Amino acid sequence: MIQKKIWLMGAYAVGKTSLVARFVRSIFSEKYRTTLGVKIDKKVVVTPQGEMKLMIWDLSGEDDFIGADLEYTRGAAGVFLVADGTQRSSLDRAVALQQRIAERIGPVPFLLLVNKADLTDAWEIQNTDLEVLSQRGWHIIRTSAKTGQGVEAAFLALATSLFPSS
Amino acid sequence: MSEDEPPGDGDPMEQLRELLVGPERKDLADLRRIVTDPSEKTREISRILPHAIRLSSSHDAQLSQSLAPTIESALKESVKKDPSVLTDVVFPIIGPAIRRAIADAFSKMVQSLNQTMEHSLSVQGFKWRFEAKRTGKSFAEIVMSRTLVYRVEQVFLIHKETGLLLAHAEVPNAPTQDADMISGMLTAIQDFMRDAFKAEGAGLRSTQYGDYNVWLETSRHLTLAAFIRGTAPEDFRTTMQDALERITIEQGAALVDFQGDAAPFEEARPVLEDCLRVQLAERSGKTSPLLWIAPLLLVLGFAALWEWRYIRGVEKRVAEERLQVEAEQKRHAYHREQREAQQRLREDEARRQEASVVEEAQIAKCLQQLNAQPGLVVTDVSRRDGVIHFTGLRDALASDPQAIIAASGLAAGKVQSHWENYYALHPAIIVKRAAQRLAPPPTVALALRGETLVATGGASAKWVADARARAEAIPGVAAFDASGVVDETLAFLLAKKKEIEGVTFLFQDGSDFPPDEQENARGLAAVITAFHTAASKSGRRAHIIVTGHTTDVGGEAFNLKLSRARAESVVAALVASGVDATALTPVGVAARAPKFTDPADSAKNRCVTFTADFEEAPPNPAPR
Repeated sequence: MIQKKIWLMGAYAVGKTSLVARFVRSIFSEKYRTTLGVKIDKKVVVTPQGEMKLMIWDLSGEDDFIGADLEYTRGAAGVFLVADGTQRSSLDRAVALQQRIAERIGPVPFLLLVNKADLTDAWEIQNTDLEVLSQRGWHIIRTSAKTGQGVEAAFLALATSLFPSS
Repeated sequence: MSEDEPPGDGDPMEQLRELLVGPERKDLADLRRIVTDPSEKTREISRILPHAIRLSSSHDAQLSQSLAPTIESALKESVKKDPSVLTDVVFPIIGPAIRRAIADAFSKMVQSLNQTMEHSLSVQGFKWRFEAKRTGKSFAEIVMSRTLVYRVEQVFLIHKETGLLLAHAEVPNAPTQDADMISGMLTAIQDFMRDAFKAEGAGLRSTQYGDYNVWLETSRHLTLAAFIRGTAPEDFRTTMQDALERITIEQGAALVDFQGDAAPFEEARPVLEDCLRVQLAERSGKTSPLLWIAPLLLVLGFAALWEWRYIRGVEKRVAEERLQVEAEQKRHAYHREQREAQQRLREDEARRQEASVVEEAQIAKCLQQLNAQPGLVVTDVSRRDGVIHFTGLRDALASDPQAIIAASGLAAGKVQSHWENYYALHPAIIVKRAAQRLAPPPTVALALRGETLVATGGASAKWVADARARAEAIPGVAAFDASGVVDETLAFLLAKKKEIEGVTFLFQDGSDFPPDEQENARGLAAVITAFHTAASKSGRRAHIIVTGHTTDVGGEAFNLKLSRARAESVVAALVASGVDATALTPVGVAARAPKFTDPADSAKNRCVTFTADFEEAPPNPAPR
């Protein structure tokens, strides 16, 4: 089975970890993330091309990452950028992060997950904001940690884009 | 210099020449300057030299070969002139390499020293034996768990850059978590250390958690992680490095193109499995020879030192103080005395050693014999003020330890033993204890099968019931099996029943008791009395039905009366012979249940028959 290392990144408190918690196999507690700065989960995704094993490196708050050359960032094949629909600033963070990643390791497939889709009334991020990014070629999925909406789709989309082109 | 001068106006030839080849002449002058002027030539060569060297190196090794002698002599010259220059250059490379080599060598030495000490001086044996008795585990199990030096339980081959698991091997029954996530986390920890210390180099090489060690070896693309229970010797690292090298060589192509497909690395699994090992501590049962060889060696060492110093002293004096013969002789005498004293010391020591070796052997033999006794466990042997103390546990039913100690040859005054009472769970002791508690009749044999006490032979049901009620309260007995015990009373009753039921009294026409059966009646009375007594003694109720019969001649009502009368006359005869009347019930059945069905024998149906029965009613019903 093909395996890939992917990152899960986003601004502080956008709900990254709880977003995937129900969908992945996990043996390490949340404590690892706060002490080591990273926690690793596993998810097997079945795609039309076959099964893929994703090792998800859930990085703690991105603030340290910007400006620091973290060893963790070696060898990742894809990235989930997570933003919080109710916090406009988290989207700016995600955009900055993406730029930073592109500078550091070149083009890596990534997917923007805009979380808290169950609270659209309280959203600060406007559809127009997302349309702008979409026109720049960003793939965006609206997700909800509460209902699980969009999470499986996100895994499937990223895994599909990671399959080695034959 | 005339070429450089401006052409004269008056020389038409010169003018023509200038017109035809003027530029070429200038080029020619420039070229000549480059070729002839040394500084120009140097500048020109310096421009093309680097390129030329690069070009030459890419073709073949000729340039290196021709330069080598020059460079070598240049280095020699440099060292001769001022060694510090080269030292400064080389130091940053060689320093860490030497440090690491020395550290490795030290670590190996300390480890092997530790192991030697631990193996040769261990006195854990008794404790383990006691622990085995106490916990009910086999001695071998305890020794295994206590002497496991190390076991390499899991080996992970990890892609260094991504932390993805390439291959994994483990021993059977190893505690396993998700290997993929473990390898990711190991990589994360390594990354974390590298980030935290901002240090280049080999990185994290081992971590420890309780009994567990994780050893890490890395190459350019790979990390090999071994989960080790206990402490592995330092040379296991070499094994890991060899494994990494082999895998790197064999899987080089797959490593360079790694896209997340671990399948090719399945081939590396045998290499990983070679890394799984178990090492048990060697344990010698006897006292280590090191215990007495060490002091002996020490003594010899002292002697040798003395000898050496003595020779040195003589030589010096012969050379420097030839005339002081007297002093030398004194010195000789002194040294001889010293040597003799040393010799005496050595002999004494040897004698002491010999005596102590004999005594050690006696102690060991005594200990072995004590521990071989069921119900005796020696927990400690110590020596205080010249007295040997045996301390341990003793079941009250075990053999007398004093007798064993006395038989071992150890002097009676030199040994003391201290015993605490305990319930031994040795089968022989359990059986002894059961025999004491259950008091089986001599016809019963007891044995232990697992934790079940098995009784075989003949005994009364009462004993079986009693034993059943009490057996499980005996330490070491979990169940009682009396299926092999025959109830003697029951056998007796069945035999008597058969005997009684075999008797038939034949009558003539009437109901008078036949006089010729008188003798039989007395015999039967004795049998019935025995039957009855045995039954009531074992708590059973016995009963005998005396049935009168008639032929089918005559009316039914008459025949019933007649048959009843016959039965009653037999009862009367038996009671007269001493049978308890309440045990007998006379019944008349006329011709309804003839004993003889053959018409030729029909006359014999004028008779009385017996049915003997007893009820099972043990006095103390057993719980099960």
